[in-house]
Amino acid sequence: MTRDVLKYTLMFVLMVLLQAVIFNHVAIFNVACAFVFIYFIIRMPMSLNPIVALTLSFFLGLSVDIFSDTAGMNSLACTLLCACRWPAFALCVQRDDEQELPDPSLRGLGWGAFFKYALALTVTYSALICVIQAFSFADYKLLLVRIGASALLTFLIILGFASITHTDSAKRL
Amino acid sequence: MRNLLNFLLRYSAWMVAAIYVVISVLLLVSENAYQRHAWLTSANGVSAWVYGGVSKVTSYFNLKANNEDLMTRNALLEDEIVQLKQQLRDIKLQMYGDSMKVTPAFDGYSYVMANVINNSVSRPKNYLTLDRGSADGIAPGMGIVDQNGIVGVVSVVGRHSARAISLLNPDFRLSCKVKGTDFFGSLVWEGGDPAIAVLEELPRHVRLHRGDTIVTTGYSSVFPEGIIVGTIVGDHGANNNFVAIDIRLTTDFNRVGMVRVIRDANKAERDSIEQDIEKTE
Repeated sequence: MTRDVLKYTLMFVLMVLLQAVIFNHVAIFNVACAFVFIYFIIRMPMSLNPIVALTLSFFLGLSVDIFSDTAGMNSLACTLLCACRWPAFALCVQRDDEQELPDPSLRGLGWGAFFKYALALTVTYSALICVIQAFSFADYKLLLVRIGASALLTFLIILGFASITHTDSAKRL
Repeated sequence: MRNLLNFLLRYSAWMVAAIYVVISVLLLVSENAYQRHAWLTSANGVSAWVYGGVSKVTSYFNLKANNEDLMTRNALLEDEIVQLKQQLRDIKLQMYGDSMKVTPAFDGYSYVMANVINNSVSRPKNYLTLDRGSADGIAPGMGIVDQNGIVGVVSVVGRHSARAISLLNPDFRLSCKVKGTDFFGSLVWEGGDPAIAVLEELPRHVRLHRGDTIVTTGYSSVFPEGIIVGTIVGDHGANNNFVAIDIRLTTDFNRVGMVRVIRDANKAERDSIEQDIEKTE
């Protein structure tokens, strides 16, 4: 338990720092942004109390907002994304009711399910944040391009993260 | 009441989500409100600290580009300085020419303003270079003075520059007299101290005092009569017929900058008459 708290606290801080220091400066072709910090929301245990999960998500977004001077945008998107976790998880992961909820990681879900689950959340987040940033659907073509490109970039980086931690855990076992 | 509590408990997660959404939206829409809280922006201590640490590292990546920018900027500024200096010099030249006190000695003479662009005081024979030449009406043999006194005489003239023999050159002898009398001698610099020259060939019977002023005689067409040269500072020695005295020059050769080159309108006429006399003799 304590080990988990420590692990997720570290991950929280690391994600905010990575986003603020590195990924906030990434904007490929000025459309593809990387919202890598949502990896934390993806990886939060499904068994976590929803209120705690929502609170963590809100403050994760707020932290990133503070670093990137976008008050409210990421905190709003993160809160909404957190609310989307359960339906996304239910859709992507086949499970028996008796079974314990698996950890939403590459190891816990396996490639196929994790792929679907992470992709769903990434696309959701890209759509949320891009719409919030644009605050209108006037230039919907550009908006779609931004959502698609950002989701793809973010998803690739998140898959990278997942596979790194995956091999690490495998070795430890 | 119980129902309400049950409702709240049952949907507590949704309530919390709604509260966070409302807070976020408030932050999002009330730009002014959040600007009042510096801690909600990257200006707060933590993010400033993080960004400070990061920029310590990342600033190195831009050093090359920054250097190039600086060099370019530097070159531009240097260009500008050169241009401004040129302008300043031209303006000074005008002002100086207008305001410099013209002694009566200059009547009948005209002059060309010039800048000394090269000068030496420490060699055995010193020369000056001026930034005016034949195009500006300068010819060999013209005298050069500045606001303090005699500087030299033009020897070689180019189109836009001229070389002059400095007074600090033993090849240059200047006919001088003690102001207020008509006793004259020949002033020459013998090397060493650039402030001291020697006035030779003065008759023995002249009574001289320390501090007496020495001026030009005007016997040659190079300098008009009465231009200050220096003051007597001491004895230099004597022989049977003549005495020599040390003169402190009024011109500060270490700081010669703007000078005027003296043109004598009657020089040609005067020279030819003097040559005729020499011939007839």
